[in-house]
Amino acid sequence: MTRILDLGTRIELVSMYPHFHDISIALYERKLENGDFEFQVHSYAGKEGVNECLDYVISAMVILGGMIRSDNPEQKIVHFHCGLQHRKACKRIFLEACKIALGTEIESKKLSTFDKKTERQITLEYLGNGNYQVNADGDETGRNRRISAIAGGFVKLAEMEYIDGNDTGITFDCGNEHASLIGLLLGRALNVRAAIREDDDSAGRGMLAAPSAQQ
Amino acid sequence: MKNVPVQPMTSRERVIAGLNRQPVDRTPVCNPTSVATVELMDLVDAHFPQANRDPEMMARLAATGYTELGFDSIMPVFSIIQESSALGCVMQWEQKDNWPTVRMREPIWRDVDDIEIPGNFLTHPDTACVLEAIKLLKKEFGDEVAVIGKTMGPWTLGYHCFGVEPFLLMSLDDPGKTKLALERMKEATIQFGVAQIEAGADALTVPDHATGDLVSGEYYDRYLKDMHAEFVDLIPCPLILHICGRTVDRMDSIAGTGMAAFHFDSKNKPQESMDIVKERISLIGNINNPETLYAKEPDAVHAEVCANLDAGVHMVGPECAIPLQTSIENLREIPRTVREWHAAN
Repeated sequence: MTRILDLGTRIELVSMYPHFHDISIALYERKLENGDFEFQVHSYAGKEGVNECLDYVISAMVILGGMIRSDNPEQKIVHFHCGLQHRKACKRIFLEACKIALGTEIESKKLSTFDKKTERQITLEYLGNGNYQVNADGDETGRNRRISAIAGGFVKLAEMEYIDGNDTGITFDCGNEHASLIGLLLGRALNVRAAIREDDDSAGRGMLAAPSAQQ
Repeated sequence: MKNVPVQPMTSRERVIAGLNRQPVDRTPVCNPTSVATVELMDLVDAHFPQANRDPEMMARLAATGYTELGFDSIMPVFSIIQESSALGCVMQWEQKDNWPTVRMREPIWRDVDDIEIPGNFLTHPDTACVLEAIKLLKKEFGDEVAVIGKTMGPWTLGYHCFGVEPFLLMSLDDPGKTKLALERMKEATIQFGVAQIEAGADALTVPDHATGDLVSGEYYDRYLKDMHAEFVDLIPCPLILHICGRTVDRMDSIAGTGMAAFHFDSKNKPQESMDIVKERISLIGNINNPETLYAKEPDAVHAEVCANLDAGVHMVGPECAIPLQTSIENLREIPRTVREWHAAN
């Protein structure tokens, strides 16, 4: 009799959660009958304390990503208020939530941050209908290029789209506001190459190469 | 392999029949390498690197291939380094989410005269662990499921003990010395293989990394074909040769060695491979690891399994040791698809 649960499609995995015995924590995605999507955080580890650990990860996802937890506290399930998939964004929220040490007090991120690279204050302005405009203060020189690069970071990180005819404005396909999520993504969008490199490094682990292909 | 009127078989019977190209009740789902994942490690509390060194953990983790994933075989030897550790290679044991490796940049042998199989080769903790794990699995599962062991071939041991570049350069510069080195190293392959049979292994995988990227088919014929044929006589159980990469240029030679099966890579198409071997050897594989099992979803796994079944591949499974982060749902899709395919055909 298998102990494996049918949880849907596994869309992300933290193979060694650094804050609790290096357990593996996975994020599963399910499509509901009404067409909405929900996500389950799960670990097969049987150690005492795993339950509380998963609860913490979920609470981090709620605060950082603006997700909503299932009414049943026994279930480790969250969803977006719009009910849509936003898979890449959800994966990013999960990965960021797993980086936070257990017990740390969490606050949602603001829609404004200082960009060390150009020493500008970067701000996201909500335009309604799920649209956000990236702005930056300071000199005109190079400003639009930087804003455009940051908007591109959002597109790459979370499968967002550009607002029609505007490569400095971004939107989610659901047309809804996702302020906490945008705040979370902003820090990563400033240096999207580092985020992608981190993802690539993680993906390369655990592959067994033939001796001739090993470094 | 189409449905034939065969009584329901146990998993072990199915695998043994598949290795001998005899009728089966359905195509066996076989893992001649590893199907361990980090989630399965959590499930049974047996994690890398300890699960490569502790027999109880090794057996517990290996058993999940049968009990949780539904494969017809159990493979406790997850890595390719057990005997190299026993030979004295410098090891990097890594963590839960990565494979232990040999530090091949710090070779232990520089010349053929350095080759020595230590007297404690089979009692070294990293070889003894495998023997004990096989005994534990046979005790728990008896004849229910095939327990497959693994003994590394001399070409791989050459890479590990001499370093990849020095060993390949020796093979170019001095074929005589290379053959002598292989002759001496093959003793490790035979000793460890025979010991695993005595411990209860039903079959053995022999990985010998004359891989398509670095070693040609001509090289295979020159250095390894006869030696692999010799293993068939000297290691008395069904042998499964494993070589990664594109290997169609040597499949005809491999099929002539007398080995029971060849564990083949997805770089070789199922039908072209079947056409070459012509029922002289069983083929096992060839579900892609990095692109399909690791990165895609069950529908892609389903398609690859069906392609192998349609081509008549004798046993289906991953092409090589699966990435440790592979999703369980993708692995379970392999036996699920095999059952569905046979029900429909």
